[in-house]
Amino acid sequence: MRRLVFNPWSIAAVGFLAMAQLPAHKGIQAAAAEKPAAGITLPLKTGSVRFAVIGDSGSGDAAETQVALQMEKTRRLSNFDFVLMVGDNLYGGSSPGDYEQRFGKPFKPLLDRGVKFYAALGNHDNTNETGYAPFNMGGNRYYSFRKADVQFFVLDSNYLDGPQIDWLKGELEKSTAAWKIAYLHHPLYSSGKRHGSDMDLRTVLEPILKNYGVQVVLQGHDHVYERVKAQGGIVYFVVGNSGQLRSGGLGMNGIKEAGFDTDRCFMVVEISGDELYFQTISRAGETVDSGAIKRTAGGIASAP
Amino acid sequence: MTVQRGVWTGARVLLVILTLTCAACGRKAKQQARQAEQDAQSLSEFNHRIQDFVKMHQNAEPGIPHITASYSGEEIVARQHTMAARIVAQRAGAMEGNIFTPAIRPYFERAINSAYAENEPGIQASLECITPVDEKALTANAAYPENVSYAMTPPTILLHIPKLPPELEYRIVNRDLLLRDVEANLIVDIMRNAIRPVPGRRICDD
Repeated sequence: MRRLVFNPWSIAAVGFLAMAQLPAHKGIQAAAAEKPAAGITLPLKTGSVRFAVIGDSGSGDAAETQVALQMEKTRRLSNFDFVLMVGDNLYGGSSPGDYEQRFGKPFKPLLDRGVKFYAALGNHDNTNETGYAPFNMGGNRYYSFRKADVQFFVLDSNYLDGPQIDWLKGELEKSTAAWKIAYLHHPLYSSGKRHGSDMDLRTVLEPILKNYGVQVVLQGHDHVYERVKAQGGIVYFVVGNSGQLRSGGLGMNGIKEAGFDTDRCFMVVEISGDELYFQTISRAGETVDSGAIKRTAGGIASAP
Repeated sequence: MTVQRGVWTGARVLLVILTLTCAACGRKAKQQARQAEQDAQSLSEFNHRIQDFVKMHQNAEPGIPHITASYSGEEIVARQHTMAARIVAQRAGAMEGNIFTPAIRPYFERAINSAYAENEPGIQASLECITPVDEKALTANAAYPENVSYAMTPPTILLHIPKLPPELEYRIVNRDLLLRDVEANLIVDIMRNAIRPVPGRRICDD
């Protein structure tokens, strides 16, 4: 089973190496996408898979719009072409206006550029959102999709029942993707003071994720950003502050590797070969966390 | 002679103990068999009632096909309301306990107890955050309460209670187990106080 090596100290080295390799790829992809842009620390390698991650975004207020605008600025620099939504996409969702007010309008700049969104359901999402075309759920509460060598497993953590578990095992079993990334709303690991780790969900889900070699899990629910120390070979992120925010909401429970709880933010991720690069950007455009995760055949070396 | 009598007495006592133990075992086995039979009946009765509801749900669908890719929130919400109105009309006389009947309830109680036995701390932690809802607002055929989140139903509980067809799901509000029509966002039935009190429960439903 392929496992991860996570080493934040190698971030600079990885970035440097990636930059050094760029000339060899020139001419394959647009030059604008090949150069690391100002403010972007991702290597922007040719042929890489690039996406953004948001969570608890559907507040419909000015902060959500500002995050969306910052995402569009970042997209121009990094050329990500899809966005993962880890739930609570529409607070409300019971009136027709919510869809426009809490999603369509704020994310219009990205939607207009053809950026696709792939949503997971949160506890504030009406199940009927699965039929909302811009969320690309195809009417399903849980689903899977693949981009190059990366497969995404989108889970409905509100309702992890037998059929969903069987489906997940089946999808993971038949997946041939090098990278397996799961995302869901409720966190298996979180230092959030408001909710924290969901222990029942962890009991049921974690063994499956471990057994089938999932490398990264993206979560929301706690209105903060957190990168959790690798747990059993899996790196967990909480991205629950792309619209909502619980200022000072990160606690101290020993699992936190990095965190941000003073403003809203989103993540940009790039996957190339055995490397996953991430950069977390606040609504003001500040990089609040960044690093690289390396996929290897051996076990995991946790951060020093 | 005395030793022989002692051996005989011991053997007799042992025989009595064995007889009593066997009788108890037999009683337990009978009880278990009776319980299994009762459970099978309850489950069959529950599934039968669920199938009846699903037929009703399907009867409400003609002319309003499933939405799998609409760009309009209006269309999605309108479908939900139409489905709800049609189902409510078909179940005009629906009463609490129509599906979670008094005969079915003990089966669910045992199933939920076995979930707690498996992971009580995890279940309790998962149910800590709530939005309290007025119990009177929770009635059969009423809409799922507005502005109340669709709080997670702990997986360990879901894995112990009967599976449902996709038209329906279980939700927990307050300490009640609700049966909810997913598309119509409608409360189909309620089993009150099905869930154990949660120590340290707090309003933190965000």
